[in-house]
Amino acid sequence: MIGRMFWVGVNTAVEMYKDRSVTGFLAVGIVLIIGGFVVADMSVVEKKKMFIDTGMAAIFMVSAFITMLAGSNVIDREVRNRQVLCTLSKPMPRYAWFIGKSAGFVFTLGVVIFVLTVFLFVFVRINTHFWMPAIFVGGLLIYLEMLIISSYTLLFSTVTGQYLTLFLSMCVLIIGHMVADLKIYWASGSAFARLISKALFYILPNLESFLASPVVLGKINIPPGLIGFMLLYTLGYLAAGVIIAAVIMNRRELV
Amino acid sequence: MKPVLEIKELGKIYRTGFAGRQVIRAVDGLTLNVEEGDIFGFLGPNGAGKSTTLKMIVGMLKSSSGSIKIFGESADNWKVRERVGFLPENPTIYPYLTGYQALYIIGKYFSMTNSELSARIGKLADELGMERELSLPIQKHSRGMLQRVGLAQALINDPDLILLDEPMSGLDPIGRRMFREVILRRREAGKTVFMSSHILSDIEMICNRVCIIHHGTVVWDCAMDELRASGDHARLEDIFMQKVGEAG
Repeated sequence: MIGRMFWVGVNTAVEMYKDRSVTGFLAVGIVLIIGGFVVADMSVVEKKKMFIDTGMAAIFMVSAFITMLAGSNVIDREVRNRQVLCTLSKPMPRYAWFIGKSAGFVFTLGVVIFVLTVFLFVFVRINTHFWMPAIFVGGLLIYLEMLIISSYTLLFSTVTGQYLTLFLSMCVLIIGHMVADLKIYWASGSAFARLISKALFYILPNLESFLASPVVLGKINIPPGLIGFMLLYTLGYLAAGVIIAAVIMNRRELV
Repeated sequence: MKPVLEIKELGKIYRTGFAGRQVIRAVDGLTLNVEEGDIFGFLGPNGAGKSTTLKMIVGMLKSSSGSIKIFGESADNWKVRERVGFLPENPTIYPYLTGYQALYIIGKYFSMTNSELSARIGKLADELGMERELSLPIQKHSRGMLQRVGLAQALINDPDLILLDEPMSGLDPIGRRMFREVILRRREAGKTVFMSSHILSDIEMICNRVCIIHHGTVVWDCAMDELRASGDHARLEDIFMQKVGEAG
């Protein structure tokens, strides 16, 4: 079974690469990082900080676009184009197909983020003569955040079409950065408001914890234990999303 | 003869309209048996339920009632598809891959080794006349060539049961003859073929059993030998028109 999932994943990664949208986003990311050099040159604040801020923002933006645009398409396109007829008529349970597709997608996303992170690392070294290994921690945080969004995107894509999935994923990304504000309602007089706000606080992901720039610039120090916890938190989220989605996929009519 | 495909009282209901109040019976109590070595022609007018039935056989759609057994096992069991090959109508195969890459990946879904796959793909390319196209991306294939790749992916595992949905569509006369020969060779090798088609002359030429369905129900089922021996020289097309007309 692992072999079948592996080949579904390989196929997904190859298709995403050959589709050119992913490579297009990668090129945009590189252009944005280089663009940060121009902005930093014009800036009166510290050049290194500008490099990091614009570079991490570029990586975040590109990976968010790939997560939402390509992620919302990864299942929908195969069902819409009826490619599933040739794939799932083979000895392949649907959950294996879905897990394989998800793995291929998150692998490709990881490769894109890694390439952009390495590019930023080298670019910063060339232009500031500083080695900044913390850039890789920033890249990891962005990747973890995108994995959480991916778990939602993949889940939504099993129950609805591409555009609604895209919209809902965007909502999760925005809400995830505002979820800490729910704590305001914890002091509310209404027991119902307290219950709902607490439930949402614990169900929705707190994406503010994954902000990369302050970590890379040393404004926030994340101990290795916390990174381990964040990794487990993300994998838990991803596993839960993929399992629920695979169950839905098993019951769904595909064509 | 051992039954290869057993369909009993199969039903498929689609619910449409507000709150699913409108019910469409795509397949309605369909019962038929396909035996080992048969080339079974599955006929019916547009919307009769042929493709829906085929999709239920390969597990794409869930039946609303009834049962499907393949080699004595429930069709819901995905492992039974180790011995099944399926060519969907107008097959869509990974467009960015070359013919070879697509067949290679599909072969991997059957856990085939690299050497097995290489030999198998070469043999199928030779049999289906698509050696040149193997190195071309599928999105650049002509309609007929896509149909050939579709048949190749259905035969990659040398299946014992071959399910073909409109296999002749998009093929020129040379391609149709080639497909007929491929199907006949599979029967000689002891395989079973279950095919739907609108091209009745092809069905007459190669099938040993034919059934006509209309509104999801079998309206006529006959062995071709019996039809030929009946002496009335009735053409399948006339029978098709008559039976479908009678069923309303």
